[in-house]
Amino acid sequence: MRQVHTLALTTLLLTFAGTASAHEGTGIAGGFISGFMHPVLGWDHVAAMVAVGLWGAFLGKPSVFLLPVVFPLVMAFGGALGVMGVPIPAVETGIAASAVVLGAMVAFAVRPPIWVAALIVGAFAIFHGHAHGTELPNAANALAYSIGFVIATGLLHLSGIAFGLIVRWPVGKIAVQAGGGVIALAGIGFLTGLI
Amino acid sequence: MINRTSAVFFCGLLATPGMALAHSPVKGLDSFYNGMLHPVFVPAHMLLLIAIGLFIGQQGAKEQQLALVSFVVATIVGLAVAWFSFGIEIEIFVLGSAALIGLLIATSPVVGIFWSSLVAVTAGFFLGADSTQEALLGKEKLFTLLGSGVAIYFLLLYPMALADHFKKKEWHKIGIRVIGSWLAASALLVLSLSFVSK
Repeated sequence: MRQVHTLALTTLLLTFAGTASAHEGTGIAGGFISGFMHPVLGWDHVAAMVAVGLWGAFLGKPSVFLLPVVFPLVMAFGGALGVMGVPIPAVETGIAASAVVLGAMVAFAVRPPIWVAALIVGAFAIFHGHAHGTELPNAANALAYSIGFVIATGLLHLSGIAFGLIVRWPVGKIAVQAGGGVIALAGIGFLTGLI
Repeated sequence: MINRTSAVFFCGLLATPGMALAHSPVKGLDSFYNGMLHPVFVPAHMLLLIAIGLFIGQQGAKEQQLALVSFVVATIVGLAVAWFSFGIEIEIFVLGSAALIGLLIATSPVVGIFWSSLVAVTAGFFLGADSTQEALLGKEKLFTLLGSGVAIYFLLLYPMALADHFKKKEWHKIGIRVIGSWLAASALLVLSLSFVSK
């Protein structure tokens, strides 16, 4: 009887066999997941995005709001360059350098005028956008991929902001600066190839 | 014993759910409900609906009323255009509108009644006109378009209510602007891809 059950179940499973989706996935869901995972799975992206949020929180209003708005918009410009195949020299170096510079800004408590902060963040956003944009034509669904990576980027900013909000406490300020230092060191690791 | 065999089959069925295929008509649903699912399954439409909803929600009470009415009228006109389905590819305009409205949400300028209504009209028209399903004919097509129209209207209301509710605190308003920048960035990227592909 047990064999009958096993046979019945096996037949059923074979009848309902689905297609194997490899890595990139297919359609809207596949495109979204690929896009969402692209910034999340790259440590250099993660470090830099968290640093943007951290620096924004460290600088306080209005930078905490402005930087997460500026970044995706300029990133879209960089992404468009990537899609169009316009080459930008040393994209990966630029991404690693963004972690070093933005981490150092937090670690050394640098407080430039807001337009300078926006300019620095915007300049690095072009490198990040270019890296994502180059992958866009290969995505299962380009729009879902874009939405995925933009949301992931925004959530990484939010993580930085959330951590950065403890800056109002004296101990928190030290922790945030230390966080910036770790990101800058990680950036050096990315630049030198140690990480 | 029959119960045990049935249980095995039932567990097997639960363990092997099928995948719902998007965009093409869903089997088992009638034309109206298939039409309702159309804006949900087309990411460009969803993007524009969220954008226009947030945009209208950001406006004042007077602007909201006129923009909402203008949107509904423009959607109906767009659906009427879709009925004749001229076969023109207008998704690029849907994405362009989403990018533009996303930028408006991010920058949050004071636009006034005329411009907010004009933006709503543009979005409504493109959403309606791009809802065509050329494979359908007659009554089936009519009910599909009706379903799309109803879904477009209701899907607009959610982001609109969200943006309207989140107008009280400063950081709430900024949150909406951040989402606007995300919408604009996503739409701009795919627009650039569509230009390159041509």
